[in-house]
Amino acid sequence: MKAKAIRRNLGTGLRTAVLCLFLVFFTLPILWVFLTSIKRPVDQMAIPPVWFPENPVFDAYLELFRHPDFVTSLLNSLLIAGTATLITVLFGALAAYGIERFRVGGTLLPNLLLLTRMIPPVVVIVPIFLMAFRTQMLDTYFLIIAAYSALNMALVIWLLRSFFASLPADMEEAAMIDGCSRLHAFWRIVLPVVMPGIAATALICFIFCWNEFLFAVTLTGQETKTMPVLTSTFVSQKGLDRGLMSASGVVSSLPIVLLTVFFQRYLVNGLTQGSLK
Amino acid sequence: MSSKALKKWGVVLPGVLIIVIVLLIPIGAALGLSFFSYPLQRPDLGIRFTGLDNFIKLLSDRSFTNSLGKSMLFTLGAVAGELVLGMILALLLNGRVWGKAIFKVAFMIPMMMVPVVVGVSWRLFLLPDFTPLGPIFDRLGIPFDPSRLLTEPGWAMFSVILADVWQWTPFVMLLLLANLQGISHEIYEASQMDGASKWREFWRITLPLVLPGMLSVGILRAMDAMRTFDLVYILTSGGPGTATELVSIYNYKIAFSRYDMGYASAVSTGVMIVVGIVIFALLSLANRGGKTR
Repeated sequence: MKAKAIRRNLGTGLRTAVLCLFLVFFTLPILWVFLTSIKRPVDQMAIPPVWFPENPVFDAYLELFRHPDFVTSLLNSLLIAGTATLITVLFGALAAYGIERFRVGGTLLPNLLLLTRMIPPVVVIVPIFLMAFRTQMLDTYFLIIAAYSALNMALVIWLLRSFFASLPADMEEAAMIDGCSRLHAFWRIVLPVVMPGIAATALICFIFCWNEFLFAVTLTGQETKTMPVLTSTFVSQKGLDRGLMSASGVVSSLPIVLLTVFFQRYLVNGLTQGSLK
Repeated sequence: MSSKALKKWGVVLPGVLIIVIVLLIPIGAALGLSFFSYPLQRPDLGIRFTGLDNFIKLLSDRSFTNSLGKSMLFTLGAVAGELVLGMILALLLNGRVWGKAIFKVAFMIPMMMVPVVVGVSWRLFLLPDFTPLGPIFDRLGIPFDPSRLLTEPGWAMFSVILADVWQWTPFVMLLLLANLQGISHEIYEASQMDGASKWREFWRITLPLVLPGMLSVGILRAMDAMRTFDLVYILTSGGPGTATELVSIYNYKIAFSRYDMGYASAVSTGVMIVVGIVIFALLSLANRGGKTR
């Protein structure tokens, strides 16, 4: 009996050890960026490389915070991702409800929607840029928010559809017999039940908007640039500003990493739900 | 149309309309523009109809076919790596492990990170004059000079694939783990009664059962990998030379470095046709896979 317990623990230990190796692989680049951001320039370029600086400095962060575009970019990222998520989830929830409950568009519509997810973004960026250029809409919040709403709409509808599908239609029908209107039933009965699903979907949508780069770099300008665009400008500046580059990377990822850690459960639910169907 | 049907469509319409206006109309515009010459930096030349000229140019454009090949290689490498590593991780996490919750959270971080920042991270990690890998390789006795990772064409492609594998393996792991957890214990108990080894159990029971799941995750990842732009753009911007110039990067460069909008639209159309064929092939593969089960 004892030998069996030892063998069991040995197996567990072995698996844990292998996972620890993977943990190193997944954290090493992140750790390196973070450590770079708190090194003095001398330590950054040291040969052989220094992992842990003896006296960490936060100059790179101060420089980033003082950068004239930093506050604007951070606020823009929040505003654009937030508004786009709100719009996408609102209209997406309505559309998902219609498709799931009233079978609007049969099976064709949802499949067509899914097809739009497969369009390579780089294919639509040229005409969108040209139209915006001609109508002088470049560098406006409206343009980038509309673009993000469209990019994520199909995914949001699909995710929400699976949450609505798991809800029995009897619930609303019972409420409607009791004299509720359809809208009222949707608002009072359906929404509260699918709220976790909506929260997960909104979270995923927000993260995708926050992370997006291709549309942001082509369609935004001085007024509306987002954090990824700001970070990318530090990359193209001829290489010596690695402190600023890494600090900007850390700051633009931090909100998303925190969201991931705190809402991991929701995220896993949303991501697996949507893709396994 | 009755008012009831109208109401039902009314619920769906706003969401669908946004997609039509922002995505579908531009695709039509790209198709149309590919028959025109439209150099944005020469307003004096304006927009001229040139018939099939752009497509004739496209078919003999070595850079285009080269970039298509790079995209295929990138997609194959990334998806294969992600499926194998994702499967290993999912199997490990499906067993008894200490500190499972910590691993799960830590593994999710790469896939949620801003792709630009993933590019920045790997750039800082691999840049020849900056990489911390040299001493580590020395210590481990690996005779490899890490400064080759971004400067040699073959290794640069490897690095780009590695960065994508780094970011997306957790996603594959998550979905495969959900699949594994759906397999009932009774099947394993039965096979253990028959005295099957763990190894045999994996090939004969686990793998066939998660294969459909692997196929759909693989297709999902393949479609994303074919469109990859930001990660590679930041990490290598297509270089050295054109070693990692994926078709999305090539298309972007034609449009926003050369400002040749007509030709860029033709490239876009070409990309759409190729991607369409690949997706069709993948989906029919998935269907066939579903039937043989």
